[in-house]
Amino acid sequence: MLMFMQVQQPKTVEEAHALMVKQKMAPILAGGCWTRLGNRKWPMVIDLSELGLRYIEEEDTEYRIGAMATQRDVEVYEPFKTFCRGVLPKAVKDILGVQFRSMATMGGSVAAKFGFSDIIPALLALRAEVRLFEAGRMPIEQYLTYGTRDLLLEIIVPKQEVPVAIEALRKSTSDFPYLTGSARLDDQGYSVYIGCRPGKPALATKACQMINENGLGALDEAVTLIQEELSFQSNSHAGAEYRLEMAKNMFKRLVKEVAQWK
Amino acid sequence: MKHLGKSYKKTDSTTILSGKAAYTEDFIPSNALCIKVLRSPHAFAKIVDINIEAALKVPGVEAIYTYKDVPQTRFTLAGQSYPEPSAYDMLILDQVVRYVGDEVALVVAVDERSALKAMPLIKVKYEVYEPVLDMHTAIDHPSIIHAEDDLHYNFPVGGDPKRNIACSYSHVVGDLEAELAKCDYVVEESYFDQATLQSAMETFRTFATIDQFNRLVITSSTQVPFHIRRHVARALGISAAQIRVIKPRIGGGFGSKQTGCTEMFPAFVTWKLKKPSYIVYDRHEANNCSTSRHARDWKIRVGATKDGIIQVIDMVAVSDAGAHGSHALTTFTAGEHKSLPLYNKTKAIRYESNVVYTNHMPGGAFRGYGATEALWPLECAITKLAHTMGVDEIELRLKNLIGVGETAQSFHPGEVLASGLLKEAIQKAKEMSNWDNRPKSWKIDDRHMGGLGVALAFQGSGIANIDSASVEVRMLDDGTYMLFTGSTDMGQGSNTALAQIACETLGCPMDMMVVYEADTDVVPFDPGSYASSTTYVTGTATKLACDELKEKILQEFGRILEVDPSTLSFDGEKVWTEDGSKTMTTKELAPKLVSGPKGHYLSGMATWGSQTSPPPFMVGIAEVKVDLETGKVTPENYYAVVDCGTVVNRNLATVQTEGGVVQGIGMALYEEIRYSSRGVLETNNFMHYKLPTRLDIGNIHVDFVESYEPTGAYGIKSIGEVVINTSCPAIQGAILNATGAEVTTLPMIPERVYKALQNK
Amino acid sequence: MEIMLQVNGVKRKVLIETDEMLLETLRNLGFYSVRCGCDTTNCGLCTVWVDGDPMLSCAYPTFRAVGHEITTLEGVAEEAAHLADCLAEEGADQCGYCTTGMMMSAIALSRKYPNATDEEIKAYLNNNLCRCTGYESHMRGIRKFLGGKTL
Repeated sequence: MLMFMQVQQPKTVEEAHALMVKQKMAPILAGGCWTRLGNRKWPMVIDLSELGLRYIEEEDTEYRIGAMATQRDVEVYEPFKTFCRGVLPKAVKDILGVQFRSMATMGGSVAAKFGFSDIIPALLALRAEVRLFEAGRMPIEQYLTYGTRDLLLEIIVPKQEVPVAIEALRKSTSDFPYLTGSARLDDQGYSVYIGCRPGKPALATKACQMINENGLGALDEAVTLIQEELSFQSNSHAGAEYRLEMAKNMFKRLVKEVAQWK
Repeated sequence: MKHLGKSYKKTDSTTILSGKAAYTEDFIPSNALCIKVLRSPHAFAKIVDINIEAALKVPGVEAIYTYKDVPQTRFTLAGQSYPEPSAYDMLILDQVVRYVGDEVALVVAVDERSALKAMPLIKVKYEVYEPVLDMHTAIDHPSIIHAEDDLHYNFPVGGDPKRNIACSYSHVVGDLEAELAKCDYVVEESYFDQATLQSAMETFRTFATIDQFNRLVITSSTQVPFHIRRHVARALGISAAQIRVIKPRIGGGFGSKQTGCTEMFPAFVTWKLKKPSYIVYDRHEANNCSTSRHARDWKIRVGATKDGIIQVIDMVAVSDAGAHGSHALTTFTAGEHKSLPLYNKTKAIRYESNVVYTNHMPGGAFRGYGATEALWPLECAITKLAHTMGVDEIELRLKNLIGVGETAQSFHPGEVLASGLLKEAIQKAKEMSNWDNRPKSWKIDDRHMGGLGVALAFQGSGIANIDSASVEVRMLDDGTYMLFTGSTDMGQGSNTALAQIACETLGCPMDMMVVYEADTDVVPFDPGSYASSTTYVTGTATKLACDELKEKILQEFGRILEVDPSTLSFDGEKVWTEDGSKTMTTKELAPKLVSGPKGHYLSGMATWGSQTSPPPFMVGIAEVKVDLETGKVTPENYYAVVDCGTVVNRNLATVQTEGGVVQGIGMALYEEIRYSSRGVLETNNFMHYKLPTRLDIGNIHVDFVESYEPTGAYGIKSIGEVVINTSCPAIQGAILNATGAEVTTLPMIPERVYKALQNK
Repeated sequence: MEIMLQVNGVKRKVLIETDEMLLETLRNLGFYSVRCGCDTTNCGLCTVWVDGDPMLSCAYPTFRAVGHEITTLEGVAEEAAHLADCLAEEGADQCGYCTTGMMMSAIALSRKYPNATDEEIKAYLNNNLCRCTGYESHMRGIRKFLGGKTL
């Protein structure tokens, strides 16, 4: 279990950020869900629970999800039930269970940048952004490769009703996914992301380009491009070959789902 | 029947559902020392140096024990009647560590935090050996897992430790090859089952204290208090009379607690320090450092003639004993007796395995105890045979099914099936699932296929000629009753079932009977609750003890009322004469029996063991949905019909069945054992070892047929284990029927099913 | 560190380790309905309410509980006794070890979603593992419990 000698509970984001910068190694406590997994003793942890970041707010053009809003907050937030046909609640509802989702925070889920994340593919398809203390606003896609130790303040989801679809494959309902994906259809055409390969979700650029140029008739051909542009590895949850086969099928399903969106 | 068949609430319901202290951990004395175990990072190594000096200096650390400090008497932790058929191949701490997680040192401290602080300060130098991590290469491997010369067998079990063979068994009847040559159809296949984890929700935990007579008192979450007492007595070199073992309420067992696990550590520490101590395993330790089912790699051949008669069943396995031989032989042999007799028209059978030592966590007992493993290949192969022959798989089974009064090639000489409504159970399951009127494969949509599959199963009821139970029932001084048993209620409700049997026999209402169990100082000997024994074996002893008590009570009534006891009627609460002229209650009688020169305190005592182990029977029909694009199998419905003889408590029997089916579904679809190339068990927590959740299982439908088993009390057989046996093969058959995909390795995770879909 | 902790409506001063989780604190205070089953947030045995929402006390740092209302099964004894009855009547308690945590989820469900469908009940309780029952008897008991509530 996670052991620590001291806990800091900053009251402002400025304080929190200063602490993060000063205590370069100190773990950041968001939802705390997997605190018992580690086996190290830390001199200090930084707790974010008193920063007032647990909120979901609706603005004219966007939703702002505070970093400490829980997955469960997103699941039961009324406007999200219909926004983009409920894609956000759908992205969280299969994560373990109500108790877990009542603790796990949206900020923690995004900041951990886990390859198996259920949430990141949905946020990618929604063209969500994050707001960081230091770097300010940044597209989520960019955040996935952003390496600075920065404080994630909120997730910003544009209020744009576009066709989006998500999917996650699991061996059992309480397991991590072994493949995730999402799709979006807008003026630019199709964007399909495949995650948990087991790496972080990434855009299947060439495959998307193929259908954007040649239409859905080229789907079968498009999916053959996936292996050229995305890497698939074996791990405890699935083999590389199987993952690739599943990615091809998932790509087709996701594209068809957004194409049929009416 | 006044009480049997009634759905009484469990007698411990109120306590365990209220949060009152009930389980081992709730009773640990506040001054007990905490024990933590330093564990081996290597799969196979010898400790060449171990330095505890720095660790001992940590404030709060009371003692640290290594292999140098413990008695050198080898023992087994298998909870089996003496003389155990398991090798004595263990020490409390051994200089040789045999799997990743094996015990290296015990750190004893005033609290957990101090112990954890000290643990990393112990410096261990290992001589690391090449581990044996594949059971197929274990025999004659250059690494000998048990090279010690003092390994002891109580009697020959075909073991050859110098060749890494823990034990071996071969039973051949008839001429296999000659009979196979005469068969019109022969199916041959390999099937693999994993060393799945029992995963009781309460992990292993024990505390020990010294009583006012300087005796060792062990309180533990165990299924086998008397076996634990014997193991500890042997290991510590003290007499059983110096030891008391108590089992409070326990949070599930499923066989895991039929093997000693944590008991030895506090027993040793407390006996040595004469101070209370405790150990509580975390989930990682519980899953990684206890005992599991045995992994087996089966090769099976089944031959039939075109008239549909199964002539030959040939089952040969390699079995993984893991690091110790606990239950290694008997789980395998039990599998024969509970699978092969189903189809008794055979002319030749073979059932054979080497059970080999490897550097994995040791195998042990897990609900089903070898039968689950044996029925997996057998029932899959029968389904395959039906497909090959183009006949209905239930018809094929019915044609070959054993009948009451019949014997089987795998039975012991003279043994016959004494009871069982096998055909009736099958008929009922067919009706429940509408088997005859629906396809076994259907299209649900472009992506999904539906399928039905079936499997049959036997189990036993107790261990014939070996285990016997003793029960004492007393009339207390207020005329109520108390029953004393060494069987162990682990949540299944055996106390309640025994109370029902006792009240049925005496005639009294349930609230006049209290069952006290599992305290070796107080209750008479019972091997404990395992082998589906309690309701049948201990239940029969209960009836006999109550019969004796009833007889004595009537004598006393007769004496006091001055009438011939044979003229008295008795309902457990009172007696009356035919003409109603004389009547008396136990409440009036009892005080007279505990005072004065004519006092005669009454108790009935009986010991009973069976010469047979009557098999309960189960039919399982699985309905699944298969995703053709991913290989994901979703259980939709499961139809279960059980013949456990007389149903003692309908609700509890139903829940046993539902729980067993679901545990079987876990084994069939979700629960994975994965070792790393270094021998690290990677699925050693619930994040990676996926127990089925309530969204993973579909709907379970349960019904019973009640045959009357003549050998024990009231026609009772057993239910605890048979219910786990059908899930794997029935689901495998349902997938096969739905899609043509033949999966032969458990669990049938999407990737495996997908591959099978591609290969068909 | 010393904190003020409010459990089942009673405020008390409690001495805790900085990195102590609520599960440990509550057990130390004698709330035995709260149990540890897994350490990895998978099993739900340690379920308690924080401000009325079911949470996993094994991963909830105790220092965070300051200013929040913690509820264990002992704090909802009346509803718990009713639910216990409904479960026991179905034989759904079995070993009972996981049941008290599940009951905390089920009672929360009954307060928040008294008209929950079977599928909603299952989804709400999915974080509560049980190894004995096969879950079906839980459903029978909980349906009875919810039915009794709406009557």
